Amino acid sequence: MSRPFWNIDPDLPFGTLISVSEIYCHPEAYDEAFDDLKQLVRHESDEEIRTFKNELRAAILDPDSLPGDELYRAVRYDDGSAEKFLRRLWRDLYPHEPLPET
Amino acid sequence: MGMDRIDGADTGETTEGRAGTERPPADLPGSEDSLSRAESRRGALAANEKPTPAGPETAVDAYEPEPYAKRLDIPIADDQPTPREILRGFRPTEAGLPEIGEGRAAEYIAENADRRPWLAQAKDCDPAAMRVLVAMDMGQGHALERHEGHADDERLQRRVTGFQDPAQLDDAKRFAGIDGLKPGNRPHRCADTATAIQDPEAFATAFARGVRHPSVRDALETPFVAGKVPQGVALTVEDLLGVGGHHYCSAYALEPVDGSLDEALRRRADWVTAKRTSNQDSDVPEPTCVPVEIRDDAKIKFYFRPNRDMNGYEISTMYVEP
Repeated sequence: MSRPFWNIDPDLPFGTLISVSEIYCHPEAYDEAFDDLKQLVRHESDEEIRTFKNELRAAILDPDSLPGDELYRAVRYDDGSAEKFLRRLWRDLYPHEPLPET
Repeated sequence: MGMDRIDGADTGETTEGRAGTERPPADLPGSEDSLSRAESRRGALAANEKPTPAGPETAVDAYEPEPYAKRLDIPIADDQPTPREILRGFRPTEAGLPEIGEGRAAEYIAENADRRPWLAQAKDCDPAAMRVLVAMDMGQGHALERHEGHADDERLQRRVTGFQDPAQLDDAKRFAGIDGLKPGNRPHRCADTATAIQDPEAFATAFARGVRHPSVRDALETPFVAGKVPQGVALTVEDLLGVGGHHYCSAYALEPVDGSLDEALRRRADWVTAKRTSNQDSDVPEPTCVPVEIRDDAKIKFYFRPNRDMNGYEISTMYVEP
């Protein structure tokens, strides 16, 4: 791959989590997008996927550390809070792994 | 030409903490503040006034703009092509779409308009714009069905308040919030805002101009990797349609409940569920929405998806985000 797929602002905390979530979880994303993400997260040798998972874990453990409203603006989830969305995302993507707990 | 990747970097305003459930912040569509700002921006641009590339936005909302077709020979901006030049220069294959000529586009509409009602507007529009709209319809994207003129104000309102998909042609399924494009009677989804560029020539111009933008080209020309999709690209209304382009856009946002967008989202979900299950005893009030002003500096977002041959990418949708 000649360049990163996700053009992430390196200064944006949780940039990979936010941009990947937007691509695959936004209501306007293509029909098979979330299924593609489920397949994609199996490739844990992929650095971006590892970053995504690490950021998802960190965000679940400390949702207040997410930058402002960026996650909501990117994903437009209707779970009621970032924390609920992130926990649902973890359960859907990693059903055989326990939710990160403090 | 201004451009932002949809990576959150273009939304640098400081907002309140995200984890809570109280929303919206003042800069989100549907907030009281955004409406009051909208009120203050009303002005006038005469219908026959030549648009000038004077600034990032031009006010106005309360009048019916001249059809965008009348602007096809007016340059988008200084030293920029006209919409007609943009439309005629459109190469469907550059957007991952099937090649089609103007003559064949008219035939396609004649053959398909009855069962694809979103083609109705295209039938009478400029041939160059018609070709763009038909090429889009031949692709896998859903922009034409949900974000062009077929998505009139009433359909936008029903989509954002009740998940009624403009692409769903079965009345009962649409009422029940069933997606019109996904197989298997899956629920339709909508964010907190539903938008459209309802003028067909304007919509086609936005798409054709966007396709030539370097950032969109980068995304479309990304070497294909199964499962991976390029990040979206956001351009401004003015970039794609010229000054005053916002007149051709329409948007409705879910109305917050007691100041909370999250509560409105919850109620919408409950209301749709009750409707879908024919729960007549449900006391969930019907969601409401409010019109949202689009400014010339609002974003038009392009999202991408794998193409049919799974060897490249095409645009999955294009829509305005206030």
